Amino acid sequence: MSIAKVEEHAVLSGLGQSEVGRRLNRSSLQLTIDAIQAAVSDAGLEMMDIDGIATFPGPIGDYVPGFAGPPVYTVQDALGIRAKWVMSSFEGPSPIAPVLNAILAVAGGQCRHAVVFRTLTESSAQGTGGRGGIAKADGQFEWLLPFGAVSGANWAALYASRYLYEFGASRSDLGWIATTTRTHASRNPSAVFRSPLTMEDYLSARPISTPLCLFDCDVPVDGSVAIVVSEATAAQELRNPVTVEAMGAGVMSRPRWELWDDLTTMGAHDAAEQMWSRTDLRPQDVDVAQLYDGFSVYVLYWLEAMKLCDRGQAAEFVRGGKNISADGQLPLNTAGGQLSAGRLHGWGHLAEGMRQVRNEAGPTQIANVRVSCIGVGGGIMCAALLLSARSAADR
Amino acid sequence: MSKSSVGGERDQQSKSAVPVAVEPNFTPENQVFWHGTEEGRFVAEGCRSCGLKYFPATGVCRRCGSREVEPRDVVGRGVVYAYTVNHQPWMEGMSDPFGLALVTFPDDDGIRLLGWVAPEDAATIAIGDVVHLRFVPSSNGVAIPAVRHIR
Repeated sequence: MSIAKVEEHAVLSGLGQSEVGRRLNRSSLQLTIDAIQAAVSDAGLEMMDIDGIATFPGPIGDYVPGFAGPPVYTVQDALGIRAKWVMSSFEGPSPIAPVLNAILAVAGGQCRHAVVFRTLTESSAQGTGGRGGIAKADGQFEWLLPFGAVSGANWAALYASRYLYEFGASRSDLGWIATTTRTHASRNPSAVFRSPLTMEDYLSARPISTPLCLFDCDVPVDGSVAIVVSEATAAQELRNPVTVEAMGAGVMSRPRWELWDDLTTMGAHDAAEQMWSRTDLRPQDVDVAQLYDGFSVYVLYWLEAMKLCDRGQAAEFVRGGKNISADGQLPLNTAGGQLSAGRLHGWGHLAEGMRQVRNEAGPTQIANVRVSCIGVGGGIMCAALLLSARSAADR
Repeated sequence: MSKSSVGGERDQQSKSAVPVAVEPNFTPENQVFWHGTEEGRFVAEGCRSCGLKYFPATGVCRRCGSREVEPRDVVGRGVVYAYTVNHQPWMEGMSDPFGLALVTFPDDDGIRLLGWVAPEDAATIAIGDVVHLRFVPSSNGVAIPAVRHIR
């Protein structure tokens, strides 16, 4: 027996988000419970309906303070969930990997309604002391940290340097991403930074790791997002389910930041290629794009990976900001992205993409959205999702 | 190349600040690399079956799967493939901007290694430059690769 296309057997049924902000000083478990209770209610379900639970990353020991949320078993027990499917993993296609895995679990009959969450308390945990480096030089960081490249900003900067070198892009091209998505954040009441950012502000900001400056880097926050993934056959019980048109992952080059063959591409390209191979929709069908901006430069990579631009053309596409603005041909990071709304590690992008296709984004809603693409991750750990407002009967 | 552009000396006389970095996580496979840096050598791994030289050492050839592999030095010229100058003091002691150069060794099957660039050299390095790799003691207790122009 084979399942022709797992995406047809699962829907995203619920979305919940806790308060999001700087130094909330609330426990990661309480933020998580806020998000999960809201997501289950949003789906039109009761907690007793939930029979699967997953998160990223789960317990990972000594890493960046506030990076890991509560353990999955702690959350399961707190909410009295009787689970047929439980998982967490740090390795895999991006922080939204457990959502892709939940789609597989639901489609495969392991559970009927899985709740998946991501919680960060990086802002409270890092306090006023500023961001630190990563503490443990193993796995994919084995040949970066001992040589002084102790921050993701350094790795992203190496990629950015190569991209700018090969394609003649400039810092101001990155600035158009930061300034345009700041304008989008001004409409999002829960965004951390809402006041305008000018190109002059951007270009005069202090360097972090060249060519990246302060405004190329996302802002740590506290917050939690939860998503409910349900069996498609449960649609009648659900308030407003979202269709998963396609998902994609893949690591077709060497799985190390510095050894990836071509630093003008990332895992994004493999993820998006697989995503497009699993749907009859085409890049021109995308109405809004939610693309990972842990560092601004990743947006250039994702635009090309998603085939929303030709290779090497993304900088020209974002230049001037018109194409990616709320009234442009491809509204980008409509809630402000991580650069302005806060570092929910891709889950803010997933949440906003879901809200847009449900027509429930409120002040950030773009008119007539049918399809949203979501690209999450940087470097080797990337995942792509295509969500739509089409019902199963439409496709 | 008549002159090797890797190693040659364990540079103790450098006036540059000691590079600040995270302690390596030693494994059975990577010990040969860290022993090599103490001697001023960049030690990768080579396949006795198909001849491929690759990094890091894993005990198995990543092209042909042979377990008949051995430590092999990287000795060819290095070319800067990507480059950044870090300004943010992520760790105590990182006050001066320093460079991070991702170096490719085209004469050694395209092996790549990240290297630290001393603050006084940081502004002089650019993508495409042919560079020299040496090894300098770092805050993490081992010798790490450092990159500068061939002088």
